[in-house]
Amino acid sequence: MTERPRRTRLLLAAGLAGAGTMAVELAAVRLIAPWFGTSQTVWTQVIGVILGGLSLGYVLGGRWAARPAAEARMALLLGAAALWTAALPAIVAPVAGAFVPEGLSLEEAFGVLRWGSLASALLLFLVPAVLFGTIAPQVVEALAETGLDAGRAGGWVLAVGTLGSLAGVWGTAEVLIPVGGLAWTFRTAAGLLAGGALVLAVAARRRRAALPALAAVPLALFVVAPTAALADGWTLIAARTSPYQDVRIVEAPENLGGFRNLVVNESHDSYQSVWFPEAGWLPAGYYYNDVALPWFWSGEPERWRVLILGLGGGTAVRVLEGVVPADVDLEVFGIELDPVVVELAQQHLDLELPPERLVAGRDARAALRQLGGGWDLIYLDCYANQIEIPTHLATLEFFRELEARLAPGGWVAANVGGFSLDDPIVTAIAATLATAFDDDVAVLGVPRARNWSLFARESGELPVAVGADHVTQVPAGAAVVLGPRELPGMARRVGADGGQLLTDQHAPTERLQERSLARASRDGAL
Amino acid sequence: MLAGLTLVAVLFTAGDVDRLLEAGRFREADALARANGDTSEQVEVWFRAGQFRRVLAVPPEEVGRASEPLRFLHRRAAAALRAGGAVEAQTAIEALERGLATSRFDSDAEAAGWSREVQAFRRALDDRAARGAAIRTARARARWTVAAIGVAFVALFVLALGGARGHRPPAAHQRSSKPVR
Repeated sequence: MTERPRRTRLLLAAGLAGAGTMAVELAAVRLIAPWFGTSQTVWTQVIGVILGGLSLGYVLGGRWAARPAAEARMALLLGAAALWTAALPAIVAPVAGAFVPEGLSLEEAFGVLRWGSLASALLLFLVPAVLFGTIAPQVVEALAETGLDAGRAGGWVLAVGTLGSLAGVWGTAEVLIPVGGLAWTFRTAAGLLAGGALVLAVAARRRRAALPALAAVPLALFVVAPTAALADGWTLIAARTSPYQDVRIVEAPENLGGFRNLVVNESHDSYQSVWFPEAGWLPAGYYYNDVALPWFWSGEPERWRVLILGLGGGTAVRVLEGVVPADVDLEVFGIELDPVVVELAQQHLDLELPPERLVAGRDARAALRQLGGGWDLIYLDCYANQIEIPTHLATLEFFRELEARLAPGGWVAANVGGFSLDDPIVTAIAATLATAFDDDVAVLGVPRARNWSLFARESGELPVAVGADHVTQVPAGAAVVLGPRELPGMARRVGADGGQLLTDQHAPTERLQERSLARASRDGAL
Repeated sequence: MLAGLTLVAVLFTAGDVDRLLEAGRFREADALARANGDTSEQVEVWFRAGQFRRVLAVPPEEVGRASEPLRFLHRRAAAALRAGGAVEAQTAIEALERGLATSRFDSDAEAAGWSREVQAFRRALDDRAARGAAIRTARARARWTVAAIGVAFVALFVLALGGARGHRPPAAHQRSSKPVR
């Protein structure tokens, strides 16, 4: 009976260590996102470091477990973890900044992504992971000292630690980051860890054991999470943290045209959406213009239904609204995964889609089914972490779902980043589209950009003739955009055998993108 | 087709390539530039179409076939900065500088304008070189950091494991005479 309070305290420590581990792990990726993004590579590095740290912590904790004064020691360790967690937002900038020089383009930044994110993760997150790992073995030993069998004690610790991890995962991903942002996530995690440490220190009657926890509290209160710096002359219009990314609206200086970009995470020189005061064609180099081309190629019909997957800030909508004449019955629907992107676009980028045409907060593949079919154009512009096309949105099965939802003669168009007409990622997606449509796909280069527009059609002519190396259908209304694509080398058709087939079972898009970058670097295009 | 090209060539003379490009008529501009046999016009068409690698593929020796050699060299240097490697960019800018040194200008203002262009290219090249060096330094720093922490990690791990193999007296609860289940 008298052992119950002690057992409760010990299990509290195990639960807090589990929760702290997951809170730090999930928030860690977001914390270093302004420098490295949140790609699978970065997640892998962070998870690897945390697991490595935990394993070392387990060994150390097991070694210390037999020593006396376990509760006081655990108070010190948890307090130190709280202190480190509280300090993370303050130390991330100098640490991560040491591995990412300022002013890099997105492509240049790839050169430091893998090693830089690993080095940063090691410096920032290895220590707290080790500290968290030391707790569980000591709790097992201490519980065994209260009369529990070793197996039972271990079972309890694993169960409570895992429940703590569960709370850490859900609490961080669903509540702390979306509601409070990164600063409050680390504050809360540090506060809970410090609270647990103080409980243990008081029970052990060791004042010194409480010192790290006491130091963590003021540190947590005053530390502010970092944001990526703005380029000279640019103005920050708005900034929000979403469940997926840090989102900002920035405005270019007057001498550059005063346009606005919606940028996420590290961004470098890239942007997710662009806004110009006037709707319609954008200047050369913006791939969004290509969303209007199928309307011209289809003979400029009086009714045109478009579904945009990856709506972002609604740039494609504004191109369509400005280019397609007002007397055309234009219906544009959009699906965007990140609701914060939509909110910011509604506030600052003139996104005015009515609610019944807007699906925010849902994955494109899942949401597609609720919107029915009969589309004249489905435009695919889904990206994660600047350059990654989400794997499940680039597969044969998905493209077949799209084709099944097209009106007769309808189009699927996709924006793909790459460096040449035979770029591995461009040809893979084109060949997969061609397989799904059982016909060639037209691939058009975007002048002055590293974007390629892919056009697949349910039936009817493609804008690139068989064997041609340029666009062969140039309606007068689209000549301003298609003119450069009439030159040799600006377009081609790709068939089903033109690249690697991507399926739900096997779609190595990240590897293809790495090959694309490596090839571009070798060819001097980077 | 040939008649069309001839007609285009008749209707437009040198300098009209620019007007065609302004009108978005790239294919006609391309045809006219080829018909004129003017390398600077050809390069201008490709440059405006965003085909920077293609511009870069034109050897500087072609300058003799260019009606506007400085513009040819300028476009080549700009394309090299956009899409070429460091050596390509350096070579292209040096070619432009040599072209400037041997040119005669109608006015000081024109000469100063070209000079500013070259300076801007030089700055861009310097920035790029600085970024390249910074990337290499950062990558080396990251690798050394990973290596150092990795070695420390393994050493600590081995030490901790080694210590665990040592003998110690059993804890009090381990000495209790519990029945074996």
